[in-house]
Amino acid sequence: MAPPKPLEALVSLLIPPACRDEVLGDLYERYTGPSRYILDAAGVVPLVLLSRIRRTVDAEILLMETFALYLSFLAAGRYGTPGLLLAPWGLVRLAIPAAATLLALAIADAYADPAKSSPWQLVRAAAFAVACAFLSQAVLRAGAPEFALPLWVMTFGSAVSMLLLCGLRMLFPPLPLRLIGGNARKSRQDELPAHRGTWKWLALGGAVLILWGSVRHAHLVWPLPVVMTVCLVVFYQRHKRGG
Amino acid sequence: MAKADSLGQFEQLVLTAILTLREDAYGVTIQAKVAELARPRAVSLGAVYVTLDRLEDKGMVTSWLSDPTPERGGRAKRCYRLEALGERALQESAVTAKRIWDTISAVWGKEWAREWGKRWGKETG
Repeated sequence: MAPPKPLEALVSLLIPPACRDEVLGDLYERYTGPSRYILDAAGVVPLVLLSRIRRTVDAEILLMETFALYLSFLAAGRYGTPGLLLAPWGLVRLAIPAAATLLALAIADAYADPAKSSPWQLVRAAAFAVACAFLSQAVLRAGAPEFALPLWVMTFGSAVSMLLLCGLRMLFPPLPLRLIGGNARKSRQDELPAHRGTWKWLALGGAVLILWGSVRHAHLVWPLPVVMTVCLVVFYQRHKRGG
Repeated sequence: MAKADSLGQFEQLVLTAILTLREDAYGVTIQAKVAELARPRAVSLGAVYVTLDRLEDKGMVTSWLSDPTPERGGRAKRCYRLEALGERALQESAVTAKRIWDTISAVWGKEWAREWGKRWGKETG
């Protein structure tokens, strides 16, 4: 007995590529009927996805991305609509697109195909995540408009977020999206050269300074995210060439 | 040798299943064996996958992809085997479980332990 092809194709789309083959094979082997197959898949897919997210998300990188995203929207809010930060739920409103971006980024990394990894995958995932932030705003405008952000704040914050995310992901690539076969995943510190740990703390310290500066002197500080990104890209290019 | 982390109960069951299944330890067979060991508790395939990933990240098991087979629609299976760290962790868990059993039996009496063992065997079939 075999599951119907359309049903199997649908389940295949939902399973992350890194473990798709073996999970589909196991479900095929257990197949006794469509309802049992659907129940099995409904029980397996969420847990497999969560496990994949756990394996592909690095807590330190996530913290840096959180800072970068929230700072971008804070700066956009401070510069574009100065009263927004002091408005009721202002800080929460600015956190919503950042949270949506982070969640989408985690899901995009979980669904990345290890066999087809490329530098453009980093940029595509960041672009997808930022698009999800806009989608979250569209949902808020329809359901809870008091929590939606002005378009200018969203646009500026998303543009800076995109630059910072791409820069961070080039400098600190996501954990290797390789099939885990034969070797347990090494710790993050094993995979990165020693100096990158220093750069992480420098990036974090710089982010704290920008946070402080953007709250107090937005007109002086807002170009800094752009400057930081340029520096990160230059560093990445030099590092790639062994400089 | 690295120090073995302590294992949760479900992790112990999964490692025991891999140990007994030897070369035939993959998702479906591991789930069936764990269900047998954990009865009457139900065990889902998804929970087994999550635990296998966690054990692999801890270095207690390793996995590899076998050749595709027609019984699986031409798909490979991911097989697992115990690593030295996993064997050690399982041994330590077994020793601890034995100590607990012996201590309880000493407090409640060997007769109680015998009757309880018989009753538990009947209830779980």
